[in-house]
Amino acid sequence: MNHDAIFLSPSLGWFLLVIISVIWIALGTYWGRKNKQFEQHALAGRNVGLTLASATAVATWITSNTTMLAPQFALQMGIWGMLAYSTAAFGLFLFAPMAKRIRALMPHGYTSGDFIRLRYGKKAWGIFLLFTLFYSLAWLVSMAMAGGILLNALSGIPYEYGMSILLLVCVIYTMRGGLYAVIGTDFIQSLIILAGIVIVGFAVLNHVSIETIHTNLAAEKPMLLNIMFPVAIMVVFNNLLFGLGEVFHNNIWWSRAFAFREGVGQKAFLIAGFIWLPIPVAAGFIALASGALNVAVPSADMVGPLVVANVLGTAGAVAIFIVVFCSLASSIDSLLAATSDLITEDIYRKIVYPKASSEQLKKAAQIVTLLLGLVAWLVCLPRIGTLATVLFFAGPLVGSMIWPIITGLYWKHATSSGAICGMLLGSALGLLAYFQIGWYIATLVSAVASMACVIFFAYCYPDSYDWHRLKEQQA
Amino acid sequence: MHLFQTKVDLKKKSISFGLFIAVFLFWQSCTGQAAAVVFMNDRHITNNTGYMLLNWQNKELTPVELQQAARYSFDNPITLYKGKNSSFMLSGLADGTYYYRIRAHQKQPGTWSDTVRLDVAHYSLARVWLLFIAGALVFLSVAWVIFRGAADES
Repeated sequence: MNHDAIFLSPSLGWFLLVIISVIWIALGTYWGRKNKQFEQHALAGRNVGLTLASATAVATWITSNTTMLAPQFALQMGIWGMLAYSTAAFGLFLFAPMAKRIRALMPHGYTSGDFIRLRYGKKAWGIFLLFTLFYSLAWLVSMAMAGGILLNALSGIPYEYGMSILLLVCVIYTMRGGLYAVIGTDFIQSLIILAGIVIVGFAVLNHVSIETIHTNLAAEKPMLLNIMFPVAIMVVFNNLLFGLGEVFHNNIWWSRAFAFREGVGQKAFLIAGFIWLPIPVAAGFIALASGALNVAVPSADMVGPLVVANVLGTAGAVAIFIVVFCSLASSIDSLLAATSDLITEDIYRKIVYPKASSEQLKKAAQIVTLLLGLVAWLVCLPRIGTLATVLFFAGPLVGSMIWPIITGLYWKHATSSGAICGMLLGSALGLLAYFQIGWYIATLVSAVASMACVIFFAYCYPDSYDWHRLKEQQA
Repeated sequence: MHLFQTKVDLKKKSISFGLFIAVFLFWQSCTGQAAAVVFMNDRHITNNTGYMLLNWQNKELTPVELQQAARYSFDNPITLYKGKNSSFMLSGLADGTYYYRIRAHQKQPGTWSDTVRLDVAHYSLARVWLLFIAGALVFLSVAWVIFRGAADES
């Protein structure tokens, strides 16, 4: 651990951690009190209004990656890096019309797995489950691990304790309150995160002018201002496609499309996209100011907290502690809920116990949430610091699912063979590019290969899918 | 007598040697002469991204000084960092060769470490723009499928 990374005394860190934990567990339990059946637990009764819907979409998409990785992108890739990260908002923009379509096609649907199984059959469904569970677990583990490392770096709280408490808090309120609790806590968390980022942005501007930042960058890190920065140009569409793949396939977003009240989904995702779009730019700007503020950066992912603590002192360190906890919790709870619903619906109900009652399914979802938390905790415990790489490793997998999903939703002639070939060939070539060239191109290669497969089969061996099969089997 | 004299000489030598060691240790502690700091990176690095992490061993949180220069001889070096960390993030580097060295920086500066040479050669722009255009086409195609589908639906 680096000496410059600790900003708060461990006692203050523990105090904040306990207070925040108690608040989230209490709120989650309170909001989840009307949660009796599986549909209420998994989909909040399919009746979430526009305000909560927009807030939960924003909060879920603001992960620790947004608050930590966006500054890292800016530090490593400059202006292009900031813009590249903000392109992840296109995932939300494009999912807006898809959410409307999903709700119309599958008014009684539960998961993204349901859609793939009904649209493309069991083989494609098996591959999809494998990919999405790998991605979800990798994201969950990397998030919990990031939590432990960041809380340790911010306040000196031992990694094992910080990571365990963060996971435990999220598991408790997600088990108790299901999606009600997740959406409710997301609302508060999104307000805290947005307020924190705005305050920090203005504080940085008060300490150092844009001209000073520009002069410093031009002298010391000239490529960060260069419009022809090669690796940064390559990252733009790779990151955009990674974001599309994440949103389009993952049950986090599909469960929200099912949970939002009819007519709300499209507006909610659009609003969320517009709220989210400037956040990576604001967070990235903080990193660009690091040189002008004479902040030495011991590792790229610590640039955000270091600059904030430098500008705002202890108050800033407290703020960044709370913002980091909120951004981690808002993503971990969503992942726990969505992944447990996917396992409960797609594996427990569809394979293990088809006759399960609604109460039994709710119980199963709670147990799966607990088990997911336990598995994540066991993987995180040895503190293997390379799991962020595993998340990038998932890039080719999520990139390969973009075309099967969108054509499955909109093209009658999209075929099961195209989807299977797209997912397998896309991820294989993407992984090859990942190892041969680098992470910054893997998702793009995967998406291109998958697109070619899907289009080839759709035009050479067209299907004629009856959309009613989605409704009939779900009803 | 001879044996006695030899014993006395040995005793004198032992005392002298002990004194020398004590004085040396005392001088070391007074001057704060520190052990050499060692980079954990390879001595010669090639890079095509313009960013990388420099690491060095520093479990004892010894204050260090890190320098960068454009020449191996370290004419006109720039001090990048003074502090107790064990790593430093380099970024925004243009094409070129950079040299790095580090030393402990207590009351008395330590000796400089071995030099790390970093050669930065960014990807060719032709290849980069080709990938950019490919990415743009995939993205526009995705958007087209969705908006066309949504329009047909409504």
